Amino acid sequence: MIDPELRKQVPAHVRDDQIVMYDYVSDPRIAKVGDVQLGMHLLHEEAPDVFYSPCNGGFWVVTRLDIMSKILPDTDHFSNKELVIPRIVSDAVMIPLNLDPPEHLQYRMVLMRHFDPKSIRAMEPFIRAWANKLIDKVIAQGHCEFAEEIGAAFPVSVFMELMGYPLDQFEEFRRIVHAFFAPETTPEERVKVQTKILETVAVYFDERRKEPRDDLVSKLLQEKVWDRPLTTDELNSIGFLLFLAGLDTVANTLSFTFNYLAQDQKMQERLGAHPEIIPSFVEEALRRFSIVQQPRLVKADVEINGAQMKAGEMVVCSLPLAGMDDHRNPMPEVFDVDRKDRAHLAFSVGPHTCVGNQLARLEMRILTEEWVRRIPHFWRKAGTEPERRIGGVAALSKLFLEWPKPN
Amino acid sequence: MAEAELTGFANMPILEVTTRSGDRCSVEAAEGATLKQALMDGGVSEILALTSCGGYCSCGTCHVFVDEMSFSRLPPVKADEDALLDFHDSRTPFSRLSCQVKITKELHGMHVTIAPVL
Ligand code: HEM
Ligand code: FES
Repeated sequence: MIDPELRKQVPAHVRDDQIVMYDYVSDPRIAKVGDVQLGMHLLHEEAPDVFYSPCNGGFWVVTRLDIMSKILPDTDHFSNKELVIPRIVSDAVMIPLNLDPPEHLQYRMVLMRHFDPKSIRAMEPFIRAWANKLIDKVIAQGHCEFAEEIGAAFPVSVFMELMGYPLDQFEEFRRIVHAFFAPETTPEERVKVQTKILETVAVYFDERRKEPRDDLVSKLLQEKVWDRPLTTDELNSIGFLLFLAGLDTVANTLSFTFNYLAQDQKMQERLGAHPEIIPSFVEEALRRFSIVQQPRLVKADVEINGAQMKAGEMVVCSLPLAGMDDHRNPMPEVFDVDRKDRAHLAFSVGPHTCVGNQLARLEMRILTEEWVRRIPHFWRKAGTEPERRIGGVAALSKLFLEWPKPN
Repeated sequence: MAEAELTGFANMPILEVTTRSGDRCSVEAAEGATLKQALMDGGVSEILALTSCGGYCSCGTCHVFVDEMSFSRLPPVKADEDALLDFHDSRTPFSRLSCQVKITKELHGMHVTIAPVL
């Protein structure tokens, strides 16, 4: 029987058997299992494929890859206008993420023109140089806190160079990104950090407008939608989204991946002996350690697997659950580089499929290549346990790694 | 024997496909499916890029060339598809995004060449 108090918080069109407690930002399942994706995976046993959680203001949750693959691209019934749980009615627009068709594609194209495979391939040398610079900083000491010193520092450095931001501002940037995503940051502080990011973004658009260079900021200034240049607001919004979309995501995927790799000596040996399997390693890492819980706003009533979703409700496609879906990936808990017919939605699917997915994959591949080449044997420091948290983007921090000091 | 029996199920349109490596094969395509789906179902897996948007005219990875005759039978290229095709140096007047082409009976015999990767 369902607790009558709980029942009262849930809309009448939700059936009793569709109600399951699941906390979007701090679900007890995670702590219980000590693994974010495995903790979420418990839902595959405990909950219907589509269920309603009364937590965080109430929202639908989808647990299966095939159902997510229908919802995420379905812009007739689901909107990207609001992507926060609990739902906050806000008119802040991150371009192109918060736009629905038909406007969306024009703006998406602005970014795609600079994140296409050719442009990304051309970045490989400088990305590799960054991986090595960061490894140089820690290798002699025989230990590091991976999440900050490598996981976060790497994508921030790559991003700054790509955008053309001055590298002496590195610490400042890293601090801002950290403050924005840290769980202890209060909503008021977050608004301040957000203002700070927007100011920073605006400053460099201004500078490059006066003096263009060969960087993404200058190139975005040249971009057009419907044959007109982007407005200042549009540019700032795009800059802001890049800041938020391209840093924390790569950082955390890397931290989850290296937390695993530090504990699997056989895999370290295999990657060292056969670097050609690293692309499969990256795909398996994206599957096993997907981190984004992707909300949608229901914009027209629709029935999904027996669930009556009403306009104005929020639905979450928990992408880690797609990778961990045992209907699609047998024995999903096993990290298997040789997995046949692997499927994941780490980068979502449909019109909003991550624009940065090739860059993210390249960053992951290169860091793994350089790390296993230079630090072929490493482990997690005895007696330490990383911290984990979930939310829009799951995070793993305080990852202390050790390796033999080079002579 | 009647032709319907020779071509199998209810006259499924058959497409002639040339892969990136130049191999040729025939693919039976279900009416109503997208060309991309038909190619994948027919074993031409290279049409599915790792970075695909899933067939929603948002990534440009499913680029193909269609023979001139068949091209003229297809509904026109829409603005979104046109813009994405522009990414491709290899674009020709007979380029399409295969996720945007619906299979119909009239396409029986269409020749499809998988375009080079971006
Ligand atoms: C492993 C790292 C990353 C993950 C897991 C990730 C994940 C995602 C997801 C799930 C979405 C889709 C949102 C939706 O369906 O509404 C998305 C969108 C996006 N991502 Fe990423 N991302 C990563 C790295 C990056 C990088 C490196 C960049 C660029 C520097 C980037 C830029 C974007 C942009 C611009 C969008 C919006 C696309 C649109 O709305 O059309 N991402 N990302
Ligand atoms: S699959 Fe993305 S455009 Fe066709």
